[in-house]
Amino acid sequence: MRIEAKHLTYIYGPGLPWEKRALSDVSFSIESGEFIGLIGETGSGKSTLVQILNGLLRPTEGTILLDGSDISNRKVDLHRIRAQVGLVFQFPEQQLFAETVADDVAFGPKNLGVPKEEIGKRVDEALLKVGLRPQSLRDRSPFTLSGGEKRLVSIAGVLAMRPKVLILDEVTAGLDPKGKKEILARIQLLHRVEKATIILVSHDMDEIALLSQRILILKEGKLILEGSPVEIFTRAQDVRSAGLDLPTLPRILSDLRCRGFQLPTAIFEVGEAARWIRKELFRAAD
Amino acid sequence: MYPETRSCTVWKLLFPAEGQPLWQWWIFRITDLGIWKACFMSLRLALLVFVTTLLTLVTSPMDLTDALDRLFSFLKVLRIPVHEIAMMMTIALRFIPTLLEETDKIIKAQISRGAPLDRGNIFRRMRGFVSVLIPLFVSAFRRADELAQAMEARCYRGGEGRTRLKEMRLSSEDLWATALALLFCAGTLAFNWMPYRWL
Amino acid sequence: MLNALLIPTEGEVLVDGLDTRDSRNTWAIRQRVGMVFQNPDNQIVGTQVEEDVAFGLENLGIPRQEMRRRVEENLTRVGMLAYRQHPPHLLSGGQKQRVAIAGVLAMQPQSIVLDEATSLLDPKGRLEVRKILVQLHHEGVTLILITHLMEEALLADKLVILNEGRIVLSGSPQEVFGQSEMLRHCHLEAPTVVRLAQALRDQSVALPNRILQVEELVDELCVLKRSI
Repeated sequence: MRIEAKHLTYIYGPGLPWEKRALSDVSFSIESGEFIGLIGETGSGKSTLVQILNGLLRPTEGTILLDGSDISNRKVDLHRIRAQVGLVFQFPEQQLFAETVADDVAFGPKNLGVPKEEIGKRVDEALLKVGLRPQSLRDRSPFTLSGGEKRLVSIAGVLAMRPKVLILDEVTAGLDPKGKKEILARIQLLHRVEKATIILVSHDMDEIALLSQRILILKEGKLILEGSPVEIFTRAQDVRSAGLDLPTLPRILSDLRCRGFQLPTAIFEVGEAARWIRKELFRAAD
Repeated sequence: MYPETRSCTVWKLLFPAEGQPLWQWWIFRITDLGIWKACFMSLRLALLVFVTTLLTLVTSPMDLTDALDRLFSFLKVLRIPVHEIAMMMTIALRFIPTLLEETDKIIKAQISRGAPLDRGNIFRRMRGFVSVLIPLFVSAFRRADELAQAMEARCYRGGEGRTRLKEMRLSSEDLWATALALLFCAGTLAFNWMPYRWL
Repeated sequence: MLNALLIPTEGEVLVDGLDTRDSRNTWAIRQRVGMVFQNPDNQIVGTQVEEDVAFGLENLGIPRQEMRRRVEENLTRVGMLAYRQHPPHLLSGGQKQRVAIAGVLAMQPQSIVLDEATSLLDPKGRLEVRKILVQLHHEGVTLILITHLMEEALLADKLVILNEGRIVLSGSPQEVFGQSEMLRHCHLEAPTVVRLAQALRDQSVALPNRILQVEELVDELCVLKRSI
């Protein structure tokens, strides 16, 4: 699904003394099947933006086109949009409520009016997509699962609605390194195998840089930088001015370049970086 | 005027118990005493709302809790856990904004999963609310658990031997205010005992 | 377990010579070992910042005058004095954790245990808290930092790595992060800087062992480049 945002502005409490401009004049487009990293400090407008994309908020100004049709129009049925653009909130496990895992995952499709016979199928399919075994989990209470499993189940709950776009807000927050890795690997699979359009929202550069094809950086409600990870990493200064920092490896390389090392920009791996640095050290020797 | 006040007043006006009838139609009857009582009732309710609003506007809930703790400490003799009740109130006050924020978040999350919170008949909506209430309870219990642990880690062990940061001292202003309040009460009582025809 | 919230099934914990199994010691131990927990929202008791910092002192029965002094002193220490009258729910995560730290410091403990105190914070909040921790360490406070962020573990003088309830590694960050096999076994990874330095050393680039920070590595490489 192609997303086009044109001049989005969102103001909380317009006309009130505590009026707050959360987004101003944000425009971008996302192609079908892209993996987007959306990054910015707390309060930069990330959450507002994803809630607009999901149809939870209507933009004060501007338009959003999903496959060419305008969803900021008041006549549009927002429930259909929410099914097409799945939003996984921060700490989604806090929204689990049903007695069994199957019931919880079925909540979304049920609300959409999916026929009963199909719901069971969708539940299993969604659980498999996040790497959980439906047979052993279906009838368990979601509250007895481990933290990582709970989170996967709640992601499955959104996937069961078969969204074309999946937005994940701080999906690894509070998990240990192992849990983080697992969840990111799952998301990468969803993107590669299911060809899902993915928007990963985070304030963690490392995570975003690892997976995204394109990065959008928000600062104080404005879209200030946009580009591939390599493009972004060459602009360390701009990134810092957004209150963010590069991941460690690009930061080291960027610092070395500033100090006269000649290194390529597209290095993503420690071994590769070591080889280039060594080469550069001995090039100076020749 | 508040809706409750208005309906109460109208009730008193249309169904008075006694007094000289001034106007009558079917079961409705307006009497002089009825008008008097209706005015009195609406004034009383307005005053109630006014005074409580004034109280909460000028006194922080925390001060109120502290005051209750101090004022009712004599009830400890009767084994009523006054300190514990006051502490519960403090914690409740502290967590109201946190829980409101959380409720908002859960509602949004469930709506984005298509929960029928804003559409459909009452039964559908109620089912939707279960999906908000359960996570809210689960979270409140988790918070309670963690808070209890944090309080214990900071040596909380009930009201015994506790000192307070905020000082509460009876000043001359407080005495004047109390005297004035007592006078007002006495006046009201005296006024109430007077038969209405004296007026 | 270190501050007698849990009692060991077997073995003993001695805090300053006090056995945690003896319930008469409980309060003395909890005053000596302060705890800061993971979720900033669930450990703040007061409806005002200064009230919360005073909470522990109220429990200890500290006289009012002394309490005022300590509240002020410790709010200053964490840089939150300007917010003393604020209601906590209007603070950012990092600020809330700093208030929690001030509340613990006010009780004048000998050591503070921070149980993943930064894991729910954003990078800015993490940085704020880390700065305070470094400063406290310089002031001589013993800190026990429970974390799964390797960058944070670098702050420590001594690291202990637990896996499935057992101590598997312990020593200085340099020693511990050198054991990449063992770390991988515990699903952990040394910080990028350490790994890059290691990779360079493996390719016979003469780097010293002590490198832990980005700046150190960059400086060392520049020196090397000039000397070659």
